[in-house]
Amino acid sequence: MLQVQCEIPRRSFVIHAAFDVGEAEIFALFGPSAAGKSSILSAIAGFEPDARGIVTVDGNPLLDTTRRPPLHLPPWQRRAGYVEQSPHLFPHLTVLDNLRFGVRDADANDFMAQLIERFGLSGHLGEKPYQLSGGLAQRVAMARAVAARPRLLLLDEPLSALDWPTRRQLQDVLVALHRDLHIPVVLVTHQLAEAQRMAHRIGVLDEGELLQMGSVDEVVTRPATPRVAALVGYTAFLPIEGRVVAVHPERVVLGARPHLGPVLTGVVERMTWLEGRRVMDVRLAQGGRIEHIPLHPLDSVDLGQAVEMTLVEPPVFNAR
Amino acid sequence: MRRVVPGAWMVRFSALLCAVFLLLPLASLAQHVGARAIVNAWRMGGRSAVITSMTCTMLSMAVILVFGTPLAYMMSRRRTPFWRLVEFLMLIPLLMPPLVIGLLLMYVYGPYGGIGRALSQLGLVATNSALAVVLAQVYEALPYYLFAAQAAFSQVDRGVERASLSLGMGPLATFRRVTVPLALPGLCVGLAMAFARAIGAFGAVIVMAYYPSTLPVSIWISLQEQGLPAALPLAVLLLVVALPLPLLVVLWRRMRDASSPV
Repeated sequence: MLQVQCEIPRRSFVIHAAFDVGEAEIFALFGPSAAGKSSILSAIAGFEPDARGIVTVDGNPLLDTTRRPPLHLPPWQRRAGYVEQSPHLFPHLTVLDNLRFGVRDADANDFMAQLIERFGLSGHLGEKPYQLSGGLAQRVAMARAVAARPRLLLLDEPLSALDWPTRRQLQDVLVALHRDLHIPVVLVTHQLAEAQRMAHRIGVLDEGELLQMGSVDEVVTRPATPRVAALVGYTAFLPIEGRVVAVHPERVVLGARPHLGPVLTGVVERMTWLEGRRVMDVRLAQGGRIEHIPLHPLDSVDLGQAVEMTLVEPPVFNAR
Repeated sequence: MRRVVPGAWMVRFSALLCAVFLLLPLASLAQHVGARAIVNAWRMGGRSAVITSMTCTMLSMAVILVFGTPLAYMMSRRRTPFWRLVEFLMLIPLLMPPLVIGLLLMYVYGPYGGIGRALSQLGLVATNSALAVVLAQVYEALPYYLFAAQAAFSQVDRGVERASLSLGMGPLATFRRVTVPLALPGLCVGLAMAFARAIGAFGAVIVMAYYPSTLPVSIWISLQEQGLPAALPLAVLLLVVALPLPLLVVLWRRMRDASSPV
């Protein structure tokens, strides 16, 4: 188990990280850019000399500044697989030499063969990194990190530069691999869909503060604060009966279904496409606007048409 | 369609004029120096000057490599005020006129200098000796290697080094297996520049060591005593020993860059 309880000073704020990740768990750190996600991962990997606090893996400390003298285990002794957004392959080595770089175990051949197979690298072992596509390079980077038999895996947006099909494929490879490896995985992502697809739990980070932690479903359906709601995709905050109701376009259905949540009326103002789906923007009768409400293929809606919509079990916050 | 830029011919003409200006003296050298004159020069003291120059330069290169590499690495990686100041101060030996270098070195390492006296206690003489030549060559050439090596280290992706560290390689192993191979082309070019500078070093060398005479000092002595025709064959010898290595290194780097863009 990975246990993190640390602070990392930054120029404009201090990042506070406090979370545990079980052996059979993928924990996603989700948040906007510059929230401090990557710094937390970097601190766990040992690249933040200013980090203070305690980080342990299976009870063994990686960082403990409460001791005298403080313990900062250097990165090369932490056995933390660390994959960043850029694959950072060794450009002067072949794919196979990259994979073997951190391997010290002479009996690792079977495991290496499995990794090569899983990541689909068998046809590229003799190639140099500059000959690889972005997706392949990232596969090599992940396989290389795992080949060194780490105690935990730290993934800092490793798939964000890839196209959607490649990303989805690699997400599946990683999830399947994690099932076999049985080590804690911390995944940094700013894409909720990725966290939803891969992670067991999610922590929402904003300006260095972990605002909420829980299952992906819990955080998305029951955000603790309006800020968390905004970060996980709630796009409108409407005053209804003296309180503030958060609206997630994905959780809006056409038609009046009062047993599911508040019913609103409005006029279709714009229809367009978003990530392969037909979506509409609706100007509400009570004032305000909801953008990008996805439409079912059978929904028959025209521009300028008056529509009734139900917000399905929306989170409600007290008005300030 | 090719665009006609007004004044383009002026740019081309200036560029060619500049290239011709730089190459013309070499052509005249070929015109005025025959093979027989070179052989004579080799026999009449050129041989010992070549050996002195090559031996001292090789020693200087070893010193530059061993002491310059760590300093270049620190200058590229430690961006603290102290190392920035060190980097700035290193410009002084780079920009200092060689003759002034010789005078200053004489004050430090000469018979009346502090270090010179300490060296003499150990039985070492830092004037008119091979040690004096090496000191002068190192001082003149080291800054060239230093700044080239600093640039080469700065171009190595820190993320790649981080990857090595996180894969369990310590800093020394990372330096040996990742940093040096990636910085190697730049390091070699820096060393080649330092070599050319050291083997041709004259100003500081002549102040520190009239004997044993290096090739540049021999050229000057011949020029003083016998005139231009006697000095020119020695100059050809100097070019023959000084130029091929740097040119080959540059050629190697170009071919390497063309075959694999890493």
